[in-house]
Amino acid sequence: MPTMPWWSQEVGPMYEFVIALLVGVSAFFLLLVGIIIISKGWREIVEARLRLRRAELEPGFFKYAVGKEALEKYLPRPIHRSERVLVERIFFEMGRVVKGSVRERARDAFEKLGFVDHYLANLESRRWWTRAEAAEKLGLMGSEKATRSLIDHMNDPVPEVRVRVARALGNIRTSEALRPLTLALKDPGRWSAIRVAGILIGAGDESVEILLQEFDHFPQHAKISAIDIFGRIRSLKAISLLRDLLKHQDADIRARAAFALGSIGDPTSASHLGDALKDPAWFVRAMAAKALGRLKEEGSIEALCTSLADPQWWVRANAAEALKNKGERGMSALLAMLDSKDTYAAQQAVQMLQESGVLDSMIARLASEEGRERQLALDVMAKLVKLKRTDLLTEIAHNHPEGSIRQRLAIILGLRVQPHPTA
Amino acid sequence: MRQHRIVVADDDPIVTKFLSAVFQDEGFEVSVAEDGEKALKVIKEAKPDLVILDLVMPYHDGFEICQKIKSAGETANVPVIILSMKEREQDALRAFEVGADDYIRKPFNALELVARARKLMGNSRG
Repeated sequence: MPTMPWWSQEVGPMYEFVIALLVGVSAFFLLLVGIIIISKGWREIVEARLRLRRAELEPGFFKYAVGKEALEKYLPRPIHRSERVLVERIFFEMGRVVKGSVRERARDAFEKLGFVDHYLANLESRRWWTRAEAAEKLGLMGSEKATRSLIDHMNDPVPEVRVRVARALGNIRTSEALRPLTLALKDPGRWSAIRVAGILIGAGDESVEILLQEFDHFPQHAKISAIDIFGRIRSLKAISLLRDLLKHQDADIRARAAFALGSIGDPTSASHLGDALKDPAWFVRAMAAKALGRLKEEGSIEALCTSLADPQWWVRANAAEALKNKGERGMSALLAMLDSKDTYAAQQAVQMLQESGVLDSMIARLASEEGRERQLALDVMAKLVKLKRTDLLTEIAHNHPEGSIRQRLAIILGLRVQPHPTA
Repeated sequence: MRQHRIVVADDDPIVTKFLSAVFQDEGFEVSVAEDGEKALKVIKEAKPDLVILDLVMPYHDGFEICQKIKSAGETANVPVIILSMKEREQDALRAFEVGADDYIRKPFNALELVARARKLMGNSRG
């Protein structure tokens, strides 16, 4: 019996099902590809339109920003509602790179074009993410008009909204906006002190004024945060208070005040910090020594030399490091300390002389042709031997590339002269 | 009298567009470059009266470009303003070491920048 070709054979229901499935899946993927192409094309068209509109409007915005007239005078046509996002984007991008009157002009435009009112309404939204976005945008706009509403939202039940509200107030930077932030330092349970401090530091000198006014009413932890902020901002306005705080009954506050004075770096604080080197609390003395190392002055060298004999190693280390930062006079003081009867102080001086490269230069002078220079270097080496720092010198005596230096050191140390290892 | 020419080299388009609009409005002719390589090319071609340079740019950084401007005979006298996000004292000092005439930090005050540019070009309007 002749076999029938496959196309005329009867097909079963399973076969039909498979065919239908394949057709269905193919159609689905075709549709999907079609949707992707259309949506991508649509996106490209929207982007291209936005780019065109941006190119059309942007020069007008820029001229408005540095000009004196109202925005409409600089624009080729009125702004359409659909262009609000574009306008916002241009002003925010501009605000990222410029400051001063240009930002003020941008802020005025945001108010006049209704952006501020729009986000103030969003700040009352039931959705927390809408409130958070509104707070952020209002902060970027820097509108003082939003201050009251933002302050009210410092008690928002959602932490993310509260943080963005705080940042927005920091951006507005008026005393009305900053005062509630300084008060937030009092409430570490609700506010992260580090975060609030960061915002206040960003606001700069404006926040110092308010912190100074509120300082006496702060609890201890808020006082400590405020002192750290003064130091980070390096505010000269806070110097007088910080000097007074060096006599505060709380040692932690005294230590922080000393550190902040060092960060500010005003050399006229040196005598106050010099007194703090005699503080009964060792960590205040250590911070005072560190702070003195940051001041560009030499009047404190003697007091720092005394601190090299402090019973606490941290004070000694900070004092030695401070002397290292005092230039030539500091170095001379460290060299003189090699004669100190206090072994700790002398050893500290050796370490700092080594770290600052002074010992290397002294060793190089051993080969000097000038008699005085060579004698000075020989004296220093003799002092090191007396301090039993032969470990340091022995290593150099073996490894120094210059033969005459190896020879001189070997004589000082009573070693056999070694040939250079690479020789 | 020919217009004063300014070259603005910055990889941030908002800066180049903003400064172009501002300086053109003030009567200057502005050429822009968005990377170090293009900046060198534009400076060579435009023979500018002032260069405003960003420090961080692709191919050549602002220090390198400034050094090249100041060491080439024909551009050695062209004033250079560095406009940078870099806040460190060392960066400003290095900029002056390589010959920059001014160093302005971003965010900058646009009116101040225009005033400084004018001063460097000899107090004349474009």
